[in-house]
Amino acid sequence: MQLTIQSLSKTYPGGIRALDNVSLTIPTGMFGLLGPNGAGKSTLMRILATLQTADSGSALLGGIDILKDRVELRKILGYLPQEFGVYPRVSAVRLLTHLAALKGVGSNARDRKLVVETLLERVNLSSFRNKAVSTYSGGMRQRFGIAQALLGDPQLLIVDEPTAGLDPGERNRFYNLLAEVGENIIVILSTHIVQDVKELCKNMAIIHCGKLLFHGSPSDAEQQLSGRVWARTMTKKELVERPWQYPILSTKLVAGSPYVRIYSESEPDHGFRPSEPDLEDVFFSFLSRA
Amino acid sequence: MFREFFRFEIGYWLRGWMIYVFIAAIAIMFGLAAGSDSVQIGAATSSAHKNAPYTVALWYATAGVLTCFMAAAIYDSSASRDFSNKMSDLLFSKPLGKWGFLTGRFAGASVIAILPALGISLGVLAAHAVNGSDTERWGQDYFWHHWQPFLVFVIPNTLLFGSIVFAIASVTRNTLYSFLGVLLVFICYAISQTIAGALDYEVLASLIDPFGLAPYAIASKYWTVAERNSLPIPWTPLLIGNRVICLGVSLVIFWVAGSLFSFEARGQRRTKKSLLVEEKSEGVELPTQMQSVPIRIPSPSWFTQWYSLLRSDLRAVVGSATFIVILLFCMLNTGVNLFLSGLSGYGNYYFPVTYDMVERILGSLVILPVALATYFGGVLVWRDRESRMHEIIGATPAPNSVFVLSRLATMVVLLFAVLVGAIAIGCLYQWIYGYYRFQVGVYVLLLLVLFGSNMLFLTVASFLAQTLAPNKYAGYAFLILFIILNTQLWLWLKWETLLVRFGAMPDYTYSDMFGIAPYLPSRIWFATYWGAVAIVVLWLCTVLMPRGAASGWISRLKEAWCSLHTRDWLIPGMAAVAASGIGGWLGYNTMVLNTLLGSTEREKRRMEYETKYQHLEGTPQPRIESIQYAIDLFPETRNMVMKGKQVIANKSDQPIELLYLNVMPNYETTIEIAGALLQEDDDRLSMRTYRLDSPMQPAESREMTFTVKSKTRGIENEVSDASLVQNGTFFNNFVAPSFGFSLNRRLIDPQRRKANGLPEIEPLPELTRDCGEFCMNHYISEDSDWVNIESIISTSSDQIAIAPGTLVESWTENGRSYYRYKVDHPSLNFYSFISARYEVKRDKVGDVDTEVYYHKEHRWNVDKMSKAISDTLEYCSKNFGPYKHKQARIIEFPRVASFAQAFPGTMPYSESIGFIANLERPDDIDMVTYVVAHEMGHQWWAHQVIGARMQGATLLSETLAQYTALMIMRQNYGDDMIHKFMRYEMDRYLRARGFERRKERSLMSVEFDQGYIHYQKGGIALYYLAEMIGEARVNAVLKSIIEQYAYKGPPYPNAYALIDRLREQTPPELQYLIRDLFEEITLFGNRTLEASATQTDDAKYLVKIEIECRKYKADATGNESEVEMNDFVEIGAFSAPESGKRYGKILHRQRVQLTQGKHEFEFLVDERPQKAGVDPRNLLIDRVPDDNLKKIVIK
Repeated sequence: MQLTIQSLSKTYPGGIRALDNVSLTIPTGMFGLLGPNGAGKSTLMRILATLQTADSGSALLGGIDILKDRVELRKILGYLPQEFGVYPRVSAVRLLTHLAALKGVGSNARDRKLVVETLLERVNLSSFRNKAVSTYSGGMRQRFGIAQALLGDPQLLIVDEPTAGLDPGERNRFYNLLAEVGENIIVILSTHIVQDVKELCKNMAIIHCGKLLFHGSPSDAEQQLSGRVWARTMTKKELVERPWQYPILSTKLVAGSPYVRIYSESEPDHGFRPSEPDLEDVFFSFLSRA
Repeated sequence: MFREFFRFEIGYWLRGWMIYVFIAAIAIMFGLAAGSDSVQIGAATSSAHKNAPYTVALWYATAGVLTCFMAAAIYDSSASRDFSNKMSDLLFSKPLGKWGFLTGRFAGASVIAILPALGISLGVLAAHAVNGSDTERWGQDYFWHHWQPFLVFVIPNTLLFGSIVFAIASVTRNTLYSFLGVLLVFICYAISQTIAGALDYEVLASLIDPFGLAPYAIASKYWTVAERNSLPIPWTPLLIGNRVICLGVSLVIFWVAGSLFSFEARGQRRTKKSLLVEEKSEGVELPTQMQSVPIRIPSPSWFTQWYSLLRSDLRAVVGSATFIVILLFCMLNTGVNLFLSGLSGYGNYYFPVTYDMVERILGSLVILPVALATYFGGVLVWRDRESRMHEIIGATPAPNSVFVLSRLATMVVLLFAVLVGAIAIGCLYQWIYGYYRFQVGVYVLLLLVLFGSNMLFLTVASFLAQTLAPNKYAGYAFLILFIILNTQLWLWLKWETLLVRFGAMPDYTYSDMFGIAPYLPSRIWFATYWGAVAIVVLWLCTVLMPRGAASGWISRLKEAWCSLHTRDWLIPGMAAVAASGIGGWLGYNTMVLNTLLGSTEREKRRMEYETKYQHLEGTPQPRIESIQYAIDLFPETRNMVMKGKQVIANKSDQPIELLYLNVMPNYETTIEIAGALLQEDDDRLSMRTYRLDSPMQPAESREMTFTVKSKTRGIENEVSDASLVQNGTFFNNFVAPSFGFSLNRRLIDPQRRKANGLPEIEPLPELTRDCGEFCMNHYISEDSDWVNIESIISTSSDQIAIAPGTLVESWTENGRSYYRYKVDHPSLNFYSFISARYEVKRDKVGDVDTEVYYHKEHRWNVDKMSKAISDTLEYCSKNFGPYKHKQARIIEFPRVASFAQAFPGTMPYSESIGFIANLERPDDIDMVTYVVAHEMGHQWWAHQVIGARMQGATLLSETLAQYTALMIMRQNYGDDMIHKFMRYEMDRYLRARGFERRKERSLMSVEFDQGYIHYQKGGIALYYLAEMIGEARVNAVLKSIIEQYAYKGPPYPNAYALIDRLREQTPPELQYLIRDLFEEITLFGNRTLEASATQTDDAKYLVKIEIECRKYKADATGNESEVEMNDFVEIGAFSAPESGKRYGKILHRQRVQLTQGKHEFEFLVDERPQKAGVDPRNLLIDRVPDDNLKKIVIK
């Protein structure tokens, strides 16, 4: 099964073009959608999650036209929005059972209970199952989010910026869980953290200002930049004066001094040394060129 | 600190749009109320100026009900803005002073919150500017008349509301509790409104009214039109007390709230705890081996989804603290109101019959159900989005219909919970009052089914408003706007049909006699119609329901249009077809089968009638001499056929060629007169003109037959004829055709006449001693004198049918009961026909049969009624003259009207007045006897002596019947009871004067529709005269009137017949009474300044009083001028009432002659006195009756 997106466009009232003729094919497995804040990732995700309409274009999953057969898609969809709240004073079990009923999981209450218990076990929330979800910490709440997204054995799982606000430990646990379920189904993960995509995804896309800039595997992307990334440490004064004209990919502080990576087809002057390109370079090179 | 917050707050509001909308809304509303006759706010209908200071003040006081919600919104926002916008952490970490912050905010919000009320003055002044040239309707605008009510009402009211809302919102940081605070204030208001009408509770009502309306209404209750037009708000102690309480309470609340307020954030501790718990166990590693979850491809079942959602919604809304608090609050409010609202007009109670409980429950819930449907409709629709679950929920495959129908079911449960709770309170109340006839079915029918269906339609509208709205508050605004439009727009367009008013259904009246049978078919059909419409609306909600990110509803509609399948159209399509089908059928029923006449159209026809037929006034027409009726009643189908055969005679001195006959619209009438040809059938004005081929010569008689057939068929817009019902048919002979131009069919209302450019008319000709032509007719009918009546009346076999006269025979035929009645003496051509399933109580006084026909569940006062008939019969036969009928009947009729009426020998008496009166408490005024005695009095005063058709006519009937009733009451209960009764009568008279729409007449020239004069003032006047000159002398006068005029005429007597004789009987020193009581409008301002007593050696008490007397004469609009006084007035003293009673006995009574000014008196009494003063029994009409007596200080 694969997800085929054909020239999808969306303009908001007020003229903001959130998606501009985006075409993508997403196969089974983890798919990373990379882009800075405001790039149109969430719009794309929401359209795929049937929560928003597109102005034009099409999106097909197997035989399902996402833009038309919304109810059909929702039956096999798992969605974890970027931001979500929960009803106050409702326990995890109760809320998950309610969502299971809405999703149509199981044919009777016993089935649903089994599914819910198993899922809570799986996301390691069993011991908090009777606590109100509204009192959960960020990581627990996110795990509850993935549990509800996994209800009903989805064929398409959409997770929108799932690790924002999680500490590194929580983030790792969350990704382990995601990687596991992402083996046989389509998982679309949107993020602005390059590292995440690199670690998890076989395929990826970069979008910026509603436009698709890159589509392929992370290694392909890195391959493209092979031999074109150069780097060195410099003083702050040097960085401000900038006596060269190469595009800067990134500037980081290493022990208090700027460490600058640049893009250049040929070997640059000013003491830059060749550096192995990583996905971040790819991302920034696309952004700087866009 | 204060200044910064104060200025910021004012600036914040002035930059927004809300305050301007508020001011504009109030200005438009009151501008319309002042400028047009069709919009009314408060009970300001009188001939006072549109911009009278009284009206403006009343509006400022009542507007509190509206502006307090606006104020609540402003204060709530001021107090909770920091929390709801999450500014609190930023703001409160600054070095703020608590009181500076609070007072600054509060003062700023107050300055803004008082502004909307100014819209009243804006509206009134604008309305005056637009149509103010008419000096009769508009007075001068004075600054103080607007400014004073603003100071007296708006500022304290706003501060009270503000402090409550501000305090609750800033302490609890929760809007809900502010909302409850507002409701609490409302309940105080509702209670004060409920009890303000009862004389005994005036002080309490004044003190608890949060708006200050009650003390103002009480202070101004006796104001005449002239006073309403000129007086500012009077500073009565009650009003000052009320305002002081209001401001004091505000201050205390604000201070308490300020003390409780702190800048620290809430709820920190709890969050920390749960975090700790988590961190401890977070170390557990994920199990590496994943269990496989037994998942199948989901097969969503609609019902499972709906049920799960319903449970979730119910828990969130009905199970919420909010709702439970509101529910308890409703119960409390209903309970309190039930216990306070049971009083009838004379301080009595009714038996708590179930329909009355239902009406009182609805009265005490007021707008709560509407508020609930509005508030929780918004909560439900926005629940997912407010808790930010909407994207997760939106991505589930549950169809929209699941959500909409779950919300609907939740609202049903919610509303039912409130109504069932109210029913429980109602039953509890009945049980406490020893009323054990629990009609749960009636409660369920009236509250759950009929009222519930109204609320359901409102809920549906609420859902649609919320679905279309960009946020919850806009949704509330949409709904309120819709509710206002839905009632006002159609009124304004003058579209009377209910088919366009969403959720509107015909009114109904429940009666113990017929249930709601006459109204049932129309209710069912309209409910089905609106049900179908509601399904379409719900479907729209379904289609337009946003999932996930909200977009404009136009794009939602487009989107929905594209994604709808053919099968999705099935249910709404069927509903739409059903709605238009039923709508069409109802349209055919209400507008084709039945006629739907708007009030404008009816008014127009009255005017046309007047213009077209006015010239016939005085044209000789035949008069009816005798009638034989054959009437068939069909209660099951609410139909009747009346056949009449009557002898008509030309009693004029000219030949009559043209006959003009008024017929009843909505009835089919056929008329046959030998040799008469229908010349014109004016169907529109219900007037027929016949030409006789040989004119009727003077003194010639002819026979005329007619058939009047009711046309009850199909469904009406509103059930128009509640006189034909399944059980309790009650109509009078006016359905039969009548001769000549009918003065009563003109447009009488003076303001409507003026608005339509018609000249002023007096309803009755002016009273003149020599009345000539005018005395040739009496005031009840214009085409007959004393007639013989014989009737055969049939009805279904389980009912008894009653016509006037003696029952000659009865039989059954074809399963129907037939009765033949014959009147024993020629009588007025004015009587009723009645049929119902009755129980009968029979008795005999001399050779007169007394009968009480009653509904079998209403037997409480039947014996009392029977006795009252006998007592009055005996009193009147002895004192006035013989009774000419062989029977006297009281007949209960359904509560579609609430009066009792006297016809020859028969007196129909409404179910809702005497039959359910509860007279078990000591000291209750016996209304039952009183009304029966009054109607029995009419058997002499109206049915033997009837006044000529001119002013003062009702003096000879209503006033004398009232006098008769008072004498019977005095005979049965003594003076103490009369004293109490008089207070109520005085109160009614003084109140009603201010609502006079034409001129207040003197008693002798009273108009026939001035009930407050011929009943209240007349009774007081004649009772007082009897006190002064003696009952025997008054009765002698009445006896001589009977002797001269009984069953005589034309010519008929007028008021002089009575006045002249009374004057003759009055001793010279009391002659002034005739002028004061009958010829002029006289008022007193008597009061007691000091009252003290000392105990004497022989265990008696020497009472000392200082009194002040004033006497005034009033003109027709209530302008008073003081006059010389040299009148005989009583002084006296009362003992303390026995426990359980409300009035002590009279210890001393003494008649003294008094001039105006101060006087001092001393007298001895045997017992310890409690109160003493001038005119202790309130026999004189006194502007302030309550200060006649003063509590005695015992030295």
